[in-house]
Amino acid sequence: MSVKKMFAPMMKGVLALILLVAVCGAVPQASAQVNFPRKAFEFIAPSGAGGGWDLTIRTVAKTLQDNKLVKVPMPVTNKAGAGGGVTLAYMQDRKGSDTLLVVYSAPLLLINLTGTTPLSYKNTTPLARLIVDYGCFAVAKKSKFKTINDVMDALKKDPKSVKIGGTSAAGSLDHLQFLAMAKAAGVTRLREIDYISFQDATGAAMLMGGHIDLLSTGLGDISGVIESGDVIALATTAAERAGGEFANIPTCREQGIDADFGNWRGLFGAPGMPDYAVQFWRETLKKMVETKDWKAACVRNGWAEYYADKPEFEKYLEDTNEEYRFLLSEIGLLK
Amino acid sequence: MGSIMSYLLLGLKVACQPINIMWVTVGGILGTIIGMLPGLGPATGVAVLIPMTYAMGPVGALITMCGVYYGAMFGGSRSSILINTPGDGAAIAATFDGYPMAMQGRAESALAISGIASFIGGMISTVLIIFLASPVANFALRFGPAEYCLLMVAALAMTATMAKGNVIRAFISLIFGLMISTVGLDSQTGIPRFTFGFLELLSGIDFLTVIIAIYALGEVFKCFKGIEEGTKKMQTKFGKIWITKEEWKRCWRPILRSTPLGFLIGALPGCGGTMASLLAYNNEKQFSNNPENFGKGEIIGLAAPEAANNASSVGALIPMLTMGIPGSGTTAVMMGALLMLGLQPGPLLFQRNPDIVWGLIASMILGNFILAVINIPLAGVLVRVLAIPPKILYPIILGLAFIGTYAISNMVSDFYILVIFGIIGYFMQKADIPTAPLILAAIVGNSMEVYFRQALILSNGSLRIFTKSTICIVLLISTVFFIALPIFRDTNLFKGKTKKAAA
Amino acid sequence: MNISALTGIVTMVFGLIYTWMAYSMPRASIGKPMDHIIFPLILGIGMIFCGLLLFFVEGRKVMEGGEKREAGAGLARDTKLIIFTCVMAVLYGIFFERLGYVLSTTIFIGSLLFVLNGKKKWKTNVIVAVLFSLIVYIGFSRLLSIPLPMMPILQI
Repeated sequence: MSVKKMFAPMMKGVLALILLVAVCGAVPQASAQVNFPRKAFEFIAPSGAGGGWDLTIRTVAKTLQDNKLVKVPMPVTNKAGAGGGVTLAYMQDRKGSDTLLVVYSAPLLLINLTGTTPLSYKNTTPLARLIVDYGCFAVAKKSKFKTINDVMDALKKDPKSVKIGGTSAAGSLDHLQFLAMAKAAGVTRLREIDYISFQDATGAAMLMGGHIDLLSTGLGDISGVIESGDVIALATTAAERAGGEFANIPTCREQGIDADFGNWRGLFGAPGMPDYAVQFWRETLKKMVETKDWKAACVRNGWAEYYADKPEFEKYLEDTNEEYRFLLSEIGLLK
Repeated sequence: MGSIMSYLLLGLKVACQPINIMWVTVGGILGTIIGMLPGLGPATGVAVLIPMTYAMGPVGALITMCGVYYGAMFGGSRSSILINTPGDGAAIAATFDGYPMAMQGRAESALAISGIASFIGGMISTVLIIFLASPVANFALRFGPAEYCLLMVAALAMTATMAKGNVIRAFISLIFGLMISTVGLDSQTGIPRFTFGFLELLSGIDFLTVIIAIYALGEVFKCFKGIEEGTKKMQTKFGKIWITKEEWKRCWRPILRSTPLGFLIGALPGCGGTMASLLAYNNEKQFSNNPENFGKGEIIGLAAPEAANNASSVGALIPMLTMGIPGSGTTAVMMGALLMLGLQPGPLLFQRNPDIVWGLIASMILGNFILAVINIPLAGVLVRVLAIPPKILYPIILGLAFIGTYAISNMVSDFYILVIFGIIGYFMQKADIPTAPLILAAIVGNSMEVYFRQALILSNGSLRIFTKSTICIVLLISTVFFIALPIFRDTNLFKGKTKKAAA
Repeated sequence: MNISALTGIVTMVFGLIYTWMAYSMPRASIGKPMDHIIFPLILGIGMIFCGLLLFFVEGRKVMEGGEKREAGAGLARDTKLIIFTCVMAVLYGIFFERLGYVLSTTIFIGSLLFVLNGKKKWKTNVIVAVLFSLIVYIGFSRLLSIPLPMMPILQI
């Protein structure tokens, strides 16, 4: 068989494909749908399974399902990559989709500011802010640091004297929340502070093994070892104290550091999401955050409820974006 | 001691409820099937289960997830042996000798020993987890960046020096693997490296994609020639799925040696089954009297990694159960599921929910038996894959390779990476460059570099951090030992081509 | 030119490009400016070194013994098959999300089967290709709830 013969069926196939694509593209999108939703939603966690985003969107799906707020299937897909950038790019491909729903938090803004992607929160349809996760600074049981101010004092004398670990990459959340507090506490040489990123969630083990001095992470990520007393949380970055078992952890502000830094999480639709879908989700999510299941899930996961409807959320995103921009320029990571 | 026994009895009582036995069986079967599909490993299997587990309650959910986890470990090596396509990373070592065995018409023995070794490895490590969970967890805590870095250096040194008489080529392969691992966003500085502006490359090239490309695609490409000339035969007669007494005699010691090794590596957060099985394989090759048989269908080369692989999957539960730290991708997903069910994994889990923890451990014992029982007859069915004419089988393998790749990341861009590395793998075969060093390097390379730099940040730039702890010194000595051992034992090694190379 | 020498050259060139790319990466603004560049630089230089070794040590040696070369009337049949597979795979990637899993996979596997298994057995080919994609699709999206791209209009 010659090459020509081999490729001939292929060429025919290609032609058929092109034709098919053309036909599909020509079918007009059904305009205003009356009985929305009719087909399955597509929920996306822009990270691997098991992370904070994943937990959030799965909790949303479960709450909606259990309370019969949404009756169509809501399968969750994990589309990890580029700190959420891959999903953000995917959302552009699905412009105008009424089925796509993505969870995001601070990294949505950060990946844009640090130059990972030219796309920003403006290339999505923000729907609602749901929760805020407490940032938390923890030390090992035997640490010489007893309060967050001890840490800051040491850093003021010598920025290299305290080794800070975190779970996210440099210039991302865990790093920034510490720098924001350090700046508010009056530490000046922010750029010289050593931050070590343990991306496979081994940060807590490194802290317990005495390899790093302080871990900057989300309260939910290390709540197990805080409860057992293996690590001691010096402060949270939130505006108010957490509830439940973590009520005895002081905030930074209480200890004289006049700042707070929250890891908010919210839901976003594809850019150009049709109005009926936006309306549906604004109403549904408003109902969801009032359910008992949702409130219970928040307490369980150490999240603070932080609901904001679309208009308020959009304003918040704009303000937060400026705040991050300022911090990143401080450490020279702004692009 | 007494309390452990009473807890274990409590656990067995939980696990032996008929409904839980059913869950572990269902989970095991599902896991075996998921594990067999290339690219789909235990992590996907467990993630898939999450929505179903809401209805089961915490105990049932956890037991089913463990069944899946375990089943996937059993199943992963099936496709390695039969079609040279590892089901997941941890099953890659099973291709080295398992596939050659199948090609020699010994697929039955290969499938049997893999099941048996998995069973023994899993059983022993379940006993180990019962008695040693907290000391092992404390030991794992002593591993800081410096220790991890040296552990990976030791593993790489072992692999690279094993390719006899071919050291330059092994190093090319090794360095290329390390280069693959440098692609992506550098977590320490936030700067993208070698991404060519592609967003998809920012999180790096998944080593599973590389494995599937080089093994599955590479094998298919290589076999095209045989298929066309009709020399590629299929197996038509099948024997019983069992091993001979003599094979067992050779294997039991390697299995027993590899189990604790796998268990320990698994308990280190962030290491995992791939590293455990590769280390066990290299270890046996080092100590073997006929290392040249490895890679040509040596049954020990299949038994050892299989035992280590299952042992590490049990070991990986330790950081999650005792500290609430997910030690591997799979345990991260399991932890997420536990959180959704309202359980907080961590040191207090043992005290607050002893029924769940011990029910889980007891169900692992049970699950092991059930999986061993279903795996042997299942292997009898699966081995028939070899009876499919290659002209039909190979397109199907390609189909599986692509869907598996898609399932890893849900990104079509990985298709292109798959094709590129498939071609690279083909040329590497032509140029006689071994692929194993590339795979291990691609897996550990990035962590090794990152740990190295982290260690230096911690020490303010002083290299002495690498000799500070006992673990470091032990690892350094063993690295030197592993490099030197083949040279001493086989003086021919450096006589040939490489002697000139060194000069 | 034998295979060893060729491998040596390819390795060397690759090492050079890699080293150059590593060196021209932007410097870091936090920590040490070269922190993320040193390791790639070492790798690149190591690669160049390995390529040189291979070229000079083995390249020459094998050449003395003469070289084997496959009869070279154009591309060998298996090479053509490989090229064909790769082209199809790339097309598969391009059309995967647009045509949906079932259709694109049927075409991909079907085309390989037609070339490999021959046109005469077209019935087998079609049945295998359709069954494979349907089974995988149903298995993934229904049983494992891993959503795969759906076919337009029909929504399968």
